[in-house]
Amino acid sequence: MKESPADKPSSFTSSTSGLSFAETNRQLVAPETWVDDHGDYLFRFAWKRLQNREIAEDMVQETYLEALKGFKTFRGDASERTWLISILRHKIVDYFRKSSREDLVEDERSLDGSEDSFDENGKWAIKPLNWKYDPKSLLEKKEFWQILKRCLGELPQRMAHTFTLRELEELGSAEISQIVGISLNNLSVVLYRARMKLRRCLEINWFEQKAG
Amino acid sequence: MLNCREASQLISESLDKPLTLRQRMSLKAHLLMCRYCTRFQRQMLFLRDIIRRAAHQETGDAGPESSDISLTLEARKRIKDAMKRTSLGE
Repeated sequence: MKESPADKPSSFTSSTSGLSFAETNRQLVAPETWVDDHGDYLFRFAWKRLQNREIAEDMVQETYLEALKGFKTFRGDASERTWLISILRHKIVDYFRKSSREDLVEDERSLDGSEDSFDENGKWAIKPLNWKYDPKSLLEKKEFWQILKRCLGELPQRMAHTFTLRELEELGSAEISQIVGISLNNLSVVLYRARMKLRRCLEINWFEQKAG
Repeated sequence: MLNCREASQLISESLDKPLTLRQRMSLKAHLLMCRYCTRFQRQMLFLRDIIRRAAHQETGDAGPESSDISLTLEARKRIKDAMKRTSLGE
């Protein structure tokens, strides 16, 4: 409607065009509401994948900083939250990539299978129990949540990252083996070990108790 | 014949990629006679199901533990301050 040239937004925000710009971009240019609107959500997303408050907070902070730098490229074709999550997801994968270099040694040790579930003939040394539970109702129990969190937290770091990429991010084997820097064969072994450990941890701490 | 250790490895692998025909046949044969590996297979599917459900509950303000997991006031402030510094620094 106005014939004012749109080359530079003037510093006088009282003009109509200035106001509407501020209005449509209110969320994006007000970083403080950003943190209040999505902070907990992003933090929970990160926490589930990292099992560590400090690192999760760092990831959320980095996400906001990157979002701040990149918000001009945000086209608004996804919701703001979806956009932030996609940045956060990249941050977490990057973190996994970097940290997998560092804790190679720690994890190799846990690959030797010292906590073997089988006897010398390859038969179950401790027989798996019958898990008679409905997953949905189980997740409503706070006690079970605590145990699940603890069991995930007990996995060696690199194993936990690998498991997270597979089961939470649902990435394919080839992509995961690149991120964490291991061969496809070793990836199978790592995922197998993670599942065996989790299975056993849940069985000891929950299913054995509940079976009485 | 597969033993239970080998069967459990194949069961885990089947969660990540399709098994070969030969692998599927021998696993099937083992599962027919081994109820512990059959239980193990169900446990693996259960584990996947529950982890993925848990992952999707994060959205939620629902979920029994959601209130425990939130940004502390200090973290919130720190992030806001960092954002201010970034936008001023441009």
